[in-house]
Amino acid sequence: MSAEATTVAWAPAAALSASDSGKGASGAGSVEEVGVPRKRSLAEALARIILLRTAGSVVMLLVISVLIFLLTYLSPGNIITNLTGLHPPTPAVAAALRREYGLNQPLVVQYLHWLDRFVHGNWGRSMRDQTSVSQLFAGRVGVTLALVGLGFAMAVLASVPLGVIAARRAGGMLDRTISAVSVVGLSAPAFATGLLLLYVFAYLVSAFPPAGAGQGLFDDLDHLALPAATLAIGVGAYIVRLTRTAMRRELGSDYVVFARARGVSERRLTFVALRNAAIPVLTMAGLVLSYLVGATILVESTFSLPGLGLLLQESVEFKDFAVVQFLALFIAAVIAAIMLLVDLSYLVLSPEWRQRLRR
Amino acid sequence: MPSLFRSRPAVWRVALVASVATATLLGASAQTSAAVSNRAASGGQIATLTVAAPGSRANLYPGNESGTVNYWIDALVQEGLVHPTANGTYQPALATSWSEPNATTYVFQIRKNARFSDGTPLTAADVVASIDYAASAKYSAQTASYLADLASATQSGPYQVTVKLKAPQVSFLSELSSSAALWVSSKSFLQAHGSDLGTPTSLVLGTGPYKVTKFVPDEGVWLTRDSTWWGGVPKVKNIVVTFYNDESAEYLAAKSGAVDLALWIMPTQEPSWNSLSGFHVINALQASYVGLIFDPNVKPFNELAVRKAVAEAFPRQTFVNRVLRGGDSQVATAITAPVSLRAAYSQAGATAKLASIPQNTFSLSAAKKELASSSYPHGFTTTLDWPNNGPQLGLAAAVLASNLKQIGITLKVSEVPIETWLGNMFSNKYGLNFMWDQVMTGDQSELAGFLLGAGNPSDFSNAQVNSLLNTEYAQTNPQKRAQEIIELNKLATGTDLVDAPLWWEPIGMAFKDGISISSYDFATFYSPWAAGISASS
Repeated sequence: MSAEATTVAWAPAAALSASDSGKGASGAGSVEEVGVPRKRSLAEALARIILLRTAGSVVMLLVISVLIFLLTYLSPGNIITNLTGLHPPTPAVAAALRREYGLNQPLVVQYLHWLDRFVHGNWGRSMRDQTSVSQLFAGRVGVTLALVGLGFAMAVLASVPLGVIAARRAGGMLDRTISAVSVVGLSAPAFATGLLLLYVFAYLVSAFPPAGAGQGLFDDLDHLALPAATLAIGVGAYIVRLTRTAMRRELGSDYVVFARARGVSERRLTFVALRNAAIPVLTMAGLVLSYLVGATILVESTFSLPGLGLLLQESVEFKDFAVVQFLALFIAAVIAAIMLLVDLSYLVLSPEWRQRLRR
Repeated sequence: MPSLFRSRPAVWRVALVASVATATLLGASAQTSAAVSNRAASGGQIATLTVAAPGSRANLYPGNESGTVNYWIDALVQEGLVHPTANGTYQPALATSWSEPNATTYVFQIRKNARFSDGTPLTAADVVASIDYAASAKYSAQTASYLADLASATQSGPYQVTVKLKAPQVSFLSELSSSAALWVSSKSFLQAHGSDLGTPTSLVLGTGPYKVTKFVPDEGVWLTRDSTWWGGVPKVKNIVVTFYNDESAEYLAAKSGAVDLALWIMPTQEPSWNSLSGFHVINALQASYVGLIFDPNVKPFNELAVRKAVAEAFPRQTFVNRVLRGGDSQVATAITAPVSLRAAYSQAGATAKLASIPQNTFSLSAAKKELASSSYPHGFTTTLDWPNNGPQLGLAAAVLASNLKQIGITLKVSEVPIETWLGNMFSNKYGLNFMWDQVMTGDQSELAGFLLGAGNPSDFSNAQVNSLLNTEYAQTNPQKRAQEIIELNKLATGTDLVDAPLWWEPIGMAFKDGISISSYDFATFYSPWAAGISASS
């Protein structure tokens, strides 16, 4: 790492924050007075970036809504057939259903009606479940959030330490073992991992229930343990690999060598290196979290969990417009929010980023 | 007529058959015509029966989601006016008796001792409201078409309902059963819940032996018995149904002891379930029909020689013997299963009658000759999709593709979601499709009417076929009707060849040892089946 990075790394975080705030608060007026572009305060800069990113996200969601609407319409299958089942409807029944669901209107009109209702808080009604999208969503979002949250926590809590250990023991038996296991985790598809965990922990050991979401906090955790572990194994492998790489780079940096020469303990060195390695790891963690939101389909299917992933899959197959639209937008919005939070977290971790933001 | 999807939407309706194998396995009587009250289990009590159901469910009301498993679950809660039996007759359900003053009128006497699970008594007004609800496309999209011939339903006495039809339809009684299109609920409940029926917040209400206490779409259904049921008190107190999208996960759950009864074991799964310690599979024979359907309006299947070439390229007998090793599948000689003709013939008699229909025997050399005589002597490329909930259809598609390749036809096979399969079938764009359907009502023309009648998936129209269909719809003599249906089969599978029957397969259920059911045939699970389940010694 460069000397600049070394300086940043060794500067006490609290002191850096105080210094930055002071400059921003006192310097703004004087810079403006002499006609030089003023530096924004941190709060202004943050507000600006959040505003811009939010506006960008709204535009992105609008574009996604058009694409999803068109793709759902163009995808194979026939909504009337899906509504009426295997046996063909009479012409009167088919006509009644087209009227009921507005399918007799031009596509553009259908989309605009949906958009109008959506922006007014009416997310529509599921043709498959025969319930409002808001009810459907409320009934399922908890399972998926718990599953993703638990899976993410498992992945991070297990993978970051393993990545650090592998980096510190680079080339050794432990490093090779961790690397080999992570390759297996990377390669194994979620449904196969899920079935393996079911075989071992639900059948051989009988430690966890094989299906369902449970009732109550502890029962929920019991039911979510295996599916969350299935998610964690897949994505944790990425975090292990990236943490190892980032930590190795930091541990080989000049500032670590200097510090070591000064007698700084290995434990403290590891902590400091980990903080400097955190930005790429955090970026990966953000991507992993985004991926998890969409990766629940197979896991929910294997473990009979009534979550959003399974709902999305079934709604796509049924061409259930309102549900597909809402879930696609929800997932896109969540991913946008995660990415924004990851970016904002850089500011907490890195004084350099704080400086850049204010320019 | 209803239809089925094993996973989510599905293969539908089923066939019947009093099964000797079932009776043998269960040590029980095969008297399938026994009244519901006589079906009561004679064994011990069961506190909770854990049931594994394939696929997932979004809505409990079969009028909204008419998958076969939905019918089976709802049959525990709601009842129709009649129940089908395996011998082609109907037994009383919420109607204690009925009469037909003329060809377009039914008069039903409504049961006086039936109560809904909320404690209110059943009235004729409830029945009328339920019929109207079932006939509404808005409330019952998946089954409203079955009641297309309904003119009116009115209360004609304190416990009497009169149903009038627009035109004679001899099979209409079957539509008023819970195996087809009628699930009686209370009028006030239907009015209160409107189109929300069957959702987690608007659970179904009926007069059956169980009431739903909780429903989580895609996860499961929780039921508890209603001791006031007019048919008696079931031996099973609680039932927990869990939906499994993954058949391996379902199997592992059974291995781990979390399953007492697994619904709908496919023929390809049967060997592994039978080898599972502590489980045995029982079958309702010929409950499901599998065949190829051709659209004669789509090239190259507009040529009879091409259709014959494809039909003759599938080795039905060896496929059934060597691939579907479940043991109870049979080569289909017609689209109508023998069990559907039980109102007219014995099982053996019906089998013999249907076997007399000219067959497209497997012969690749004959298939090659047929192709050579067509406009496509050097072959062509086409597609065949199979629904993802029927792995045995995938195997059949692979076998057919392999054989067709030898005569110059390239068949691209794909696994698709069942909705896509259905959509393609009725799109009139595909010349070759699979048909997978179940007998649910036992009516003689259940499958023939669907595959050849108005809106049929082959988009096929033939004056002789239409005339025969019109005649048999109004035919009250079972033997004459059966003969007309056999003639329809000859036209569909021979002269016009729009349907190539492949096999009839059983509907299997895997029971944990120690749990028995008093009888099992195609109709059992369309009536309050759990009332026949008990702990065996």
